[in-house]
Amino acid sequence: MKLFAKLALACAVSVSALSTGAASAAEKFIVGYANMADTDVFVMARKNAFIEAAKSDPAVEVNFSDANNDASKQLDQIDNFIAQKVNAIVVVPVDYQGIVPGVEKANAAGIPVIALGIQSAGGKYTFVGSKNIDAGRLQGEFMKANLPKDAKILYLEGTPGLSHTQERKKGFGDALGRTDVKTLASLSANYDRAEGMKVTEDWIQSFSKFDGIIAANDQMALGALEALKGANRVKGVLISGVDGVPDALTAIKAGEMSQTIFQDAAGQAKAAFEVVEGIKKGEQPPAERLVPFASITKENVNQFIKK
Amino acid sequence: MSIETATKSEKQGAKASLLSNVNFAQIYRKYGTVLIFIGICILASLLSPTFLTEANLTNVLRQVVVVSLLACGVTFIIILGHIDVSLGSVLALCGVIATSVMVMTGSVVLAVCAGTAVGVLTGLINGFVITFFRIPSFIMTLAMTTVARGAVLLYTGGSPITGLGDFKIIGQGSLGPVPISVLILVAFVILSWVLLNKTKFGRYVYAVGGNERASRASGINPDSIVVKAFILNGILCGVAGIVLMSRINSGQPAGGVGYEFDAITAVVVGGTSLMGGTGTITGTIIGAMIIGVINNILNLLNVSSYWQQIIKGLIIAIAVILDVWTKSARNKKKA
Repeated sequence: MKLFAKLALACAVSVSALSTGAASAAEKFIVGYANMADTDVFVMARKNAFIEAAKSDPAVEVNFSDANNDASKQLDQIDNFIAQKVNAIVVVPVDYQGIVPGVEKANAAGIPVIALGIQSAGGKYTFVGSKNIDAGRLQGEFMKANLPKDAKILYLEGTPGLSHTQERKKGFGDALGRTDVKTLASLSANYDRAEGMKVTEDWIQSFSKFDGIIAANDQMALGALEALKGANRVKGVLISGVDGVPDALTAIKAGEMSQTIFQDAAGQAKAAFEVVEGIKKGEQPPAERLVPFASITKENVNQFIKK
Repeated sequence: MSIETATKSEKQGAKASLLSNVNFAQIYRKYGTVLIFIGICILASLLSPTFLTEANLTNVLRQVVVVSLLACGVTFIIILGHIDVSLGSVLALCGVIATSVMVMTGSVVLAVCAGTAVGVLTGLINGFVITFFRIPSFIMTLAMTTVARGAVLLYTGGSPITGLGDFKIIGQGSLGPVPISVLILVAFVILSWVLLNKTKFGRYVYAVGGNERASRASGINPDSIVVKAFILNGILCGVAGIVLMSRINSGQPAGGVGYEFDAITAVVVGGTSLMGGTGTITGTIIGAMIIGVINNILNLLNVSSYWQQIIKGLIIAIAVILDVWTKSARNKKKA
């Protein structure tokens, strides 16, 4: 496998040497891209976007590895990149804590590290991605502007014990900041559509009127929508989710859902590549390069459906 | 214990209880789950005025359909002294295949057939491997859990299937005031009850679960009973998957996680012993209703999800303690 990779590298180098003439093997800037799991739809989309972005600079070459959600496998792969003396490592950490030894080893070897999408609990690196607290904040801002006076709302939490569940909820609470709005209830539906539906059905029984359901992801929001449809209560309820899945976009276009928050895979990949380019030019990489979430509502939903 | 001696000893047990009048263990064996169910309902109606409304009760019924279907199937497995922990993933696989066929063909009938067929196939595989290779059912169905989940993720590429059209009638439609999904449940409960109580197959299930060697000696082929029970269980998984995906109007490859826990809890709370040999469909349904009512009232009262998990765990522990305790009380009596 390694031999094959080396051969492939040699071929690539010689081909590019032929084509550019001036570029030699020593001048190639090699990036090791340690992906979390090629099976994850979002993570894979971001990897493909990175490949696209990397095409803009023929002097940059990217080597990929896939940890398949195994934190220790990912550490081995980073060791390999360090042994290959790559010029920069882009890693999508499998685990926030588990990646630390890898980041520290790369630091010791003097190789700059970019953590993409997920941070590392330690070591020196550049974080490129979006902050979950901002997804909640965008939901809060939308509700602040659109909920009627003295509104009553319900919040569907994600799986308890995950950091992004807490962050999305906190971001929402921070940004809402309206004393007249009352939260009737807040329960977890484990990011699951069937559970979101079940909890909302129970809420429909408990509360004769509410004006908004805020969910920590789109699947729960869509489950809530099904429950409201079943009870004929869709009208007058603002529903907001996070992710921007196709179903949610369709529901927003139909006027059944009000908002979803889109995490920009392509934008994150592009930003990561820009940081790589900066390192190549010898610039000091920043500690953080944030890519904002996009709030999708009826006004701008069409431009996202096309994608 | 052969069938004849089983019924004889049960008759003796009944006589003994008549003679000694009030005995908590005996009463719990017979009516315990019903009493607990009524008690919980009374408590729930006191805690929340919403609970006893017609709309909420229909709501609870609709919510227990999926777990009740799974619980009916796994009752056979547990009476046989086996276990199936793959219910949730097999449900997801069946449901997603059904939705996918629905999208491809536009035919609800074909979709339902495909989903059920996948259930039959997984049940057949589980039953065959367990009996042919003599593998503990826990291990085999654990393997099936990851295989089925892997298969459904592979098939869908991880993203949900949407655009189901008429498919949602199964889980969302109603005939008059009665949801169609509840009618489906009633039909399968009756079917399961008849199979377990009125057929040779049902009597053999008890016999094999009570004492496999004795049943073999009296001419029953336990392996064929186990395989048939797993196929039946698979069919019910398939139906449950179809109802669930139809209810949420999309094929969710990540759906049904942990449903086996709820289903097995329902069966055990309903008085079926994990040791095999005893258990009833009516008990299982009451068990499922108890779980459904508890879930419902906890949500109505806005109890935090952290507490909900603790409470659910305690319920299964208490049910098993009662099961073991009443059984040892009965055995002592016999001795």
